[in-house]
Amino acid sequence: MKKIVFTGLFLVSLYADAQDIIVQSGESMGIAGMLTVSQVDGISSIDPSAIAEIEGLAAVEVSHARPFGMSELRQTSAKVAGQTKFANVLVAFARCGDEDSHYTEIGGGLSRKFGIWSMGLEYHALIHTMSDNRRYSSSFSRFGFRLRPRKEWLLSVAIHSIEQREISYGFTSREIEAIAMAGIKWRPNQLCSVMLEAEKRWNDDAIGKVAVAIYPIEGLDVSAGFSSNGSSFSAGAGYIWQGIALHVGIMRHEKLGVSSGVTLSYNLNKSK
Amino acid sequence: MLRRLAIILCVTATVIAKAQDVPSNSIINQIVEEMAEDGTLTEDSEDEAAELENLAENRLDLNKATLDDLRHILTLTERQAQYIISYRNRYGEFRSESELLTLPGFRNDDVEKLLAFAFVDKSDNKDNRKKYFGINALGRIQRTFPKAKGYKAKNDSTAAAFLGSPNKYYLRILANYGNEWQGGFVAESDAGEPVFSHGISITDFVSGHVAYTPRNKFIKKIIAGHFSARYGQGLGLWNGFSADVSAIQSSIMRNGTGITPNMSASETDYLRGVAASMGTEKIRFDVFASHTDGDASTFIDEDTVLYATSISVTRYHRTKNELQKRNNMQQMLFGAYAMYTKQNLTIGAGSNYWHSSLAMSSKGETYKKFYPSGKDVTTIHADYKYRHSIFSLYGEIAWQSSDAWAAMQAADFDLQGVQFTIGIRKFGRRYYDIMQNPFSRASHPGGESGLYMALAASPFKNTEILANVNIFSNSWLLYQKPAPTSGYKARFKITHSIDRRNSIALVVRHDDGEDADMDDKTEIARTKRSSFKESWTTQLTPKLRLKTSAEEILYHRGSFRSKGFWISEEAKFEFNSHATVTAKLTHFDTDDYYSRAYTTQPDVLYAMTMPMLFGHGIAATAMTKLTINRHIAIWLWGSFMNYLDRDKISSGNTELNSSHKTEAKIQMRFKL
Repeated sequence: MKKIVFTGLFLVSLYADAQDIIVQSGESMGIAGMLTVSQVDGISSIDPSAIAEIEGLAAVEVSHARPFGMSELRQTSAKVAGQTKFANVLVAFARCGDEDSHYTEIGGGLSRKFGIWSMGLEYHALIHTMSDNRRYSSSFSRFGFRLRPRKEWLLSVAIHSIEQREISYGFTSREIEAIAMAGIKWRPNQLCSVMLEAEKRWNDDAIGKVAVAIYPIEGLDVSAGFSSNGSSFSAGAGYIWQGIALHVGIMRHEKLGVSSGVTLSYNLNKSK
Repeated sequence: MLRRLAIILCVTATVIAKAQDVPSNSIINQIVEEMAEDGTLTEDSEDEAAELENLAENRLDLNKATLDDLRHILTLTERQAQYIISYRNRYGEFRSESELLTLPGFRNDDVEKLLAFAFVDKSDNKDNRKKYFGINALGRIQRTFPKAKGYKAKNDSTAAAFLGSPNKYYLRILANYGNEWQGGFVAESDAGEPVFSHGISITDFVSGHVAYTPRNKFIKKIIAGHFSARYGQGLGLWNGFSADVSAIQSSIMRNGTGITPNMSASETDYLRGVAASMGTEKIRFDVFASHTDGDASTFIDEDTVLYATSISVTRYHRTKNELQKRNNMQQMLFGAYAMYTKQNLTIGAGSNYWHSSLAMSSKGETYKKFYPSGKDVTTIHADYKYRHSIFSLYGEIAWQSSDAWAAMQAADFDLQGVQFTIGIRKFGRRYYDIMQNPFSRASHPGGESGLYMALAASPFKNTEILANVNIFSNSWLLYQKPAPTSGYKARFKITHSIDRRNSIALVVRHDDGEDADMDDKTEIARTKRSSFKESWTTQLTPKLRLKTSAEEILYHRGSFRSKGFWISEEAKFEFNSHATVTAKLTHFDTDDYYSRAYTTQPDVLYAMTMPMLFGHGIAATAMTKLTINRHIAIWLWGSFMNYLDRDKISSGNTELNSSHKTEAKIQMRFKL
């Protein structure tokens, strides 16, 4: 490991209930729950190839989220990413749920850039702990690639739980649902970026998301978005100073209520 | 620097040449068709279409036009109009049209359309005042074949239901003397309505006005007769059409034009009386008084008090029953509005008092529970607009004496070529749009709250995208909805100019909401309607333009499914400056009414129609415009619709005992 430098924050990603083990950061919450692209290029995306774009020193992120305001679904996660000679490396830890039922996830991945495109692969172990301390485990992988044909355009594709494994509870089992996501980000100038994403879960209808982020002054971003999942509207804001970034976001589902999230990150490279 | 200037000049020359190659009338038709397809103009937008034609013939001097003048150019957004004024204030007068391309938010297409209605005057001593007395008279007769059931006597002892002939008549006369005096007259009779008989002295609908716009510094305008009043964002007072949530548009900022003469043939959306506008450059004050008639459905309660349960929108007077309701209700409206403008800020406030001769009743179906009752409604409203370099803020609040309120707030961002709009609105349950027309989803917005977002950008060369989404919810019931509902509407449009002759467009509409279940009307079911429309336009030769379009429609409601499809080919051939022929052929096939489609069709001036297509059939339309000379033009229009899945069309008195329907129109215009 010739060059690994860790700085700053911890990103803790908690996985929600089995219905949704994709963690949403505060940044993601502010842009309609997008998972492959983000307002600020960093490591909050779940696309494994996203960390390939980190150059130089590494980044750390911690986030906390409350889906639909429910403490039973609270999520906390941490990510650390660094650059090595061969590829960029990610280590992730997450917890979702409460004392009665929670998921713990530990995973890692590699990502590498090849000119204008990047590819990444992650592998995660998943443990479901019940109130009586019984544990049930499984695992899943993620694959992602992204293309940056021009500086202002980014295309990102990620597939979660490709193999669709199951968590077995003895008398029953639950599938770790496969999810395919594709996102586009267009940043035409310093003032704004437009993001689109389509998400398709194996057993559900496709979801469309669109968001706009505005950067009125250096370091500040304000975002708004829409997701067809529950006619959800989202809003968020973030500020970056000396490599330290704080993002908050809320999203309102027409039936289930308001979700909120916050992300704190530190990127040593950007602090210089 | 020189290279940049050369590029600008070349682009300008291309833009201007393109504008000059296409006659203004073609641009108007093209604009009206585009706006109709986008939903930002409808069949009742005659005043707007007439305004465009008037502007094309009396183009505005961009170096003298005020912000109010520019607002009449419908192709300009409020922000674009403000940019023109700001540029002039900051850098002096425009010296050439090429400067328009340097303004933020102005694309080649925008400049081309603007130059159809405006010019840059290079002369130092040009007087833009009209120096002539002008008359623009237009008359039209139209008829449908075969005769509908309502025109046929049932037997020897029972006369036909419709008292008039199957002909529809329309006459419109606009006269002006210079820039100061204008008079207008409109007479219209729908098919089946009696003319000069059965208590109707001329035609069923007659309107007229005289408008005086003096060169006085204080008195801006005086109107006697039919007029419209539009203020703020429509929450306080707004007559006439405005785009709603179904439109494909970005900004929702309204341009309240204040009091203007009304020459629409709409029998409900007008005011009639006197109105005056006065003030200085910074302060304007309007007053108005109106007395109009209406047709109301009535009932008498146990105390023998007569109430109005609803006010007719169509106001047909073809049968004896319909004639009995004619003008059975009188409405009065008095009000005032004041506006202050300073640099980038405009603030307005107004109040109006509405009185009806019949008391409104909120009895009846549950969804009407919060409708107003009584004879009087007072509305107080306040609005503002603030413009910054990269954003504009605007909003309005209104309060009604029925203890109702409404509010909307929105912001437009202009981010170096990317326009983004976000707006929120909330209407109290008791808020009712008697004389209002706010941006809303439901026909009556009381109880609605919503969020609107839109994006317009040009991500690639010669490509423009426009997308919007409107999230809404109603806290109370709506017509035929047994519970509070919510949902969203999304629109997406992308247009790409392949080259100077060819362009393609894709429009996607998606509505997601809630409706009564098909099988159990007391239950709510999720409803989704999606449509995908593709079109390709090609200017095959300088005289021949072809447009191919197709649309697929999908409809879901609970477990119910329905789909539809149509494809059309339209050709427009300009023989010479005197004759133009347009023809359109459409084949449609929809499972039922739910997957119906709406299309535009070539039509005569001031008579745009958007026929609804459902079932299986073929529709053909042909129109010829003959320009005899600079004073006289004649239109001949015919439409043939043949249904392949039925042998009767429509129902009731409008039923046609045939599988096909033919319509014909003859229109003549005289201009002096």
